[in-house]
This record gives sequence, structure tokens and C-alpha cells, in this order.
Amino acid sequence: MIPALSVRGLNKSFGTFALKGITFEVPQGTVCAIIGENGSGKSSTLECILGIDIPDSGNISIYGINPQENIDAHSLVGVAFDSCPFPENCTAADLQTILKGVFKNWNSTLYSALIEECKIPLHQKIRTFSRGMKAKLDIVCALCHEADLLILDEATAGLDPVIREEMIDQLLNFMQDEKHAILMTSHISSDLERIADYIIFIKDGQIVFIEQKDLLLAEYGMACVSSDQLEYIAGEFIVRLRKQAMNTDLLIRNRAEFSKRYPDYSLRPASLDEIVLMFTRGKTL
Amino acid sequence: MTGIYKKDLIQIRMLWPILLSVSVIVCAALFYADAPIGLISYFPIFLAFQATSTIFADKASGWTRMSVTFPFTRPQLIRSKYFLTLALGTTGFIIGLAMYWIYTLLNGNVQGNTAETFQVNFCIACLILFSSTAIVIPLSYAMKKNQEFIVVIASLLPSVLVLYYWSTTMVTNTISVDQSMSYVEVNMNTPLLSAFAAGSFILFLASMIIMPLVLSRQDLR
Repeated sequence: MIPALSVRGLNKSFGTFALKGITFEVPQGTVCAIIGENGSGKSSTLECILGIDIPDSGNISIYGINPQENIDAHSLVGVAFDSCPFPENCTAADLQTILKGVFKNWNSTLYSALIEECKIPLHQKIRTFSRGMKAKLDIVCALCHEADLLILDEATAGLDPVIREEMIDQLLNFMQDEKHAILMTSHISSDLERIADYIIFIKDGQIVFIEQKDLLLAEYGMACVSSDQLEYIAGEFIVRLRKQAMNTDLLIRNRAEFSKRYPDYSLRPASLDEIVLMFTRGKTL
Repeated sequence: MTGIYKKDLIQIRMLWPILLSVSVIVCAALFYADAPIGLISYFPIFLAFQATSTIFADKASGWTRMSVTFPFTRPQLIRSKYFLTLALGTTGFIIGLAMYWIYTLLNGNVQGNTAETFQVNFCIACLILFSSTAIVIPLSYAMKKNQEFIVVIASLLPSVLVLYYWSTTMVTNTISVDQSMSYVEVNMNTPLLSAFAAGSFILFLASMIIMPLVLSRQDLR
């Protein structure tokens, strides 16, 4: 099956920072989340995929179509950024008129239905909208031209839990179609734990790992040990360690096996936030 | 592409109170000065520059970044601003002519307005409109945000210099009718001005063909 998105050997230099050899696929029917600390290259990767930045080298294909050769590939993609990109003096009704003239497959019925469902005022200027309303409008516009792939760059950032929940519900609805796929970046681990199938961790412009989210959360654990205890732990279990004042935090792989071998050591499941923190700030053995 | 033009026209339409106020003031001033022919210069330039204002607004709102994700190539998106400039400039010329016609209807034929005066004003409009927008459109994309003022000044400078040069080539002759009467004949050097206007149109076309291809190779930052 053709992947919804394929990125191969993406390289892009931004002066002091560079994306190096970014390679991954987003299979159809899956949600992939790119995570990493600020400035690690998440948004830069998305911007290269969308053509906002021109990659130095690499291949990108959307459902098998290279957008640089055939711009119609962009009609398969719905995009939502962290800030509303629409002219603030326009209304939601104006946006319908505009986007109908942009996308051949614009679905006016769906737009009206989603606008009503999300309680977005149709004839009020966008500049009077709250942040949550703008974010919902962004997602609605991304969904209404029958895109197969959604690319979301921190689309839920800064929103309250209620609005985020509504937006995640819309995305889960979108994923009912097995042909659809989502590539998203987010710092909100609770959203990712709810919706993501794959986690792509990026650091300093390079991919560190690509893993199934469920496997990641099942495999990895956090242990807090003293210096003495650390000496007894086999190196094969330690992914990263971080020395604190009184003890050492360990990111452990193969949690089940670790628990069997070291039943007296306290171990708990690692959250996505902790995994990111340990990969970013922790050291290898 | 119709959606892109609709967005620009909606944005310009939102500014109608400002556009109308400025136009009323300028019309009133030119009518008072008995120089309504100036309207065929004013309106094309004024309206054509609204196309440029949409570029600044697009960059500020994030629309430029969003529009690159649409199923249009970057050259198509940039060229749409050139086409919009042409359309608005033409509309402005029609409005200017209409306002001039209304003035002559109300006040009779305006003294001193000859075919040459018409040609001069038309050429000045073309010179400023085409040479400035040929520069301001690509500069607006290439420059960073908050540099709009520099961009506009830089784009107007060449046409101002050309017009200054043209004004120095005008020749005035004092012709004596008899011992007590004489009049001043001004040779406006309209062939030179027409050549400059034609050149500025060619510059505009060249900018429209080449600059979108150059700019599309750059990152949108």
C-alpha cells in the first residue's frame, strides 16, 4: 500500500541548524506524531514537506505523488498551523467563498455542518474570535476539502482541555476512513497518547527513533536509583540516565524483563514527556 | 485560482472607508484646482498599489505561508499579484476617466485640457504604476516583515527620478503675438515620456515573467 506520506533523505540547512537525513513514512490509516524539544526541527520538517521551505535534497511524496513535480498533490493535504492564517477581517462565510475557489473538492455542506457543530459564528470577523475558535476554524477548513492527509503543526497549542478534546474528536472522526492519515507535531503528550499510532522523536535536526506509541509506552519505564544500585543494573536495560542531586533517573527499556530481574527496584511506566526529557537531557551509559 | 483573487478583493473591499475618504479628498482638491485630468493618474496608481498592500497583509497574517500549501505553484501565487495589479490599475483608469467626464459634464470643457494633457497624465500614470509595481511586488516577497515603508520608497524612487529627468527636458518658449501680448508655449516632450511609459510596461512584464520563478526558489521566511 502506498504510504500517505513518504520522506526520504530530507536535508535542509538553515545556517547554524540543519535537518539531516530525515527519513520516515506515514502509512495510510495511521496518526504519526513528531515530538522533540523546541528548536529540534519539528516545524522545519513539516515546512519542508509542505513546500514552505525548499529542501536542499531529499524526496517527498504524498500518496505516491511528488508535489514538486505535480502540485495537485497539495489538494490531498489539509493543513492547520499553530496560529490562524486567515485574514482577520474576513468572516467564516467569506472563508467559505475563498476556499471554494481554491479547492476543487470543497465540501460546502460539510463546512456548514462543522461550523455549526463547533459553534463558530458565520458572519463575525475572525479577529473577534477567541484562540480556541480560531483553532477550530483552522481544523474545519483543513477537513472540508476532502483531504486524505492532515498535517498539523502544534494545532492544539495553547488551548484549554475542553477545546482540545473537541478537536481530537474531530481528528478521530477523520481517521474513521482507513485511507486517511495524520502527521502532527505537539508538545501535549495527553493528546498524543490518545490519538497517535507512531511517535517520531527528532533531536538537533535528526530522527532519533520512530516507534509505535503503544510499544513505546509498554516498553519504556522510569527508574530512580542510587549510585550503588546503578552499578548492579545491566547496561542493556539503560537507554538514558540523568544524574540528579540525590539519585539517578534511568529510562529503562524492556520494562517487564527489568521488573523480573530487579524486583526490588522501583519502576514505573514512562510517559511521553519523560521519554522526550530523557532523550534530550539524559546521557547514554 | 479564483479563491485567491476573491480573498484579495475581500481584503481590499474591507478598506473601503479609507479608500473612499482619500479618494474624495483628492477629487475635491483636483476639482478645486480645476485639474480633474489628474484623476486619470491618481486612480490607477492608488488602486494598483492596493494589490501590493495585500502582499503585506498576507505576510502579517500568515496567509502567504498557508497559500503555499494550496494546489497552486509559487509562481502562480506570485503572478496573481501582478494580474491583480493590472486589473486594479485598469479599473482605476476607468474610474478616473469617469470622474473626469462627470466634472466636464458639470462644469463644461476644462480649459487647457488637450489631447496632449491627456496623454501626459496617462503616461505618468503608466510610468509610476508599472515601474513601481515591477519593483515593489518582488521586493515585498523578498524583504522581511516590517520593512514595508522601505519597500514602497525604494519602488517609487526610479519613477520619481525618471519624471524629474523628463521635466528637465521640457522646453518653454515665449511667443510674442504683438508688442503687448505674448504667451508661453510648453513643449512637454511627450515622445520621451511615452517611451518611458512603454519602457516601464516592459519592465513590469519582465518582472511578472522572471521574478516569480526567482522568488519561488527561496524559502518563505
